[in-house]
Amino acid sequence: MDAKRKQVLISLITAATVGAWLYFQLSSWPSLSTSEVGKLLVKTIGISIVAHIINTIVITIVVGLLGGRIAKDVTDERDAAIELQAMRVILVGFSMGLVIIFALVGWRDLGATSALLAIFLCMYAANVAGDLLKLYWYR
Amino acid sequence: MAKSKLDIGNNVRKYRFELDEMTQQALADTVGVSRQTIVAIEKNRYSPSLDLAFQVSLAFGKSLEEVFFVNQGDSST
Repeated sequence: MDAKRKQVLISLITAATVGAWLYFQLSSWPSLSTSEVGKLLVKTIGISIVAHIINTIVITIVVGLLGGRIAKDVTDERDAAIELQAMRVILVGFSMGLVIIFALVGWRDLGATSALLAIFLCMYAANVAGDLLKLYWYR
Repeated sequence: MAKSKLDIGNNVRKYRFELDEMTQQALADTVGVSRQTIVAIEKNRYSPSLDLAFQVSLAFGKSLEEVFFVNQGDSST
């Protein structure tokens, strides 16, 4: 396994972990206030950082135990082009989501709490889509 | 006027084998890229920059036109 694909896999596993955590935290979502959702999202960012560090350590150990070797991490022009392309996809996806959310707030009376959550989920989905595309392009 | 994308081919695989069956990793190390980039170039999934194309050509001791070419219809030069 090469280092770039390992990084993307770690990112996807972290996203799945954080997604699952957030899903259970939001079980009482309709009754949450805006400030509670704000605190929850800040906590989620902290948890995602910790989960990323733990996943990096665990996956590196597991790959080592399974006898797999991680190829030397070389970043070249193709990697830079892939990163840039994925970044564009993430930005476009997130921007489109943001516009839709603003429109829903403006014309469909979407609540501030729901909009806050929707913005976060939009960012989350755009990142996952970007990671999946990177995985495809790195092949 | 519509700008058509050039169909760029290469002889990287051929010259690698001519050069004592050089591995993709060895070529990648020589030119300072990852093995995946060499794989992508060989499969024509990625067109390298001019800089990298020259480096690959120099690694084989060939000129740029011998390693990389444009497929024009049926003929390749």
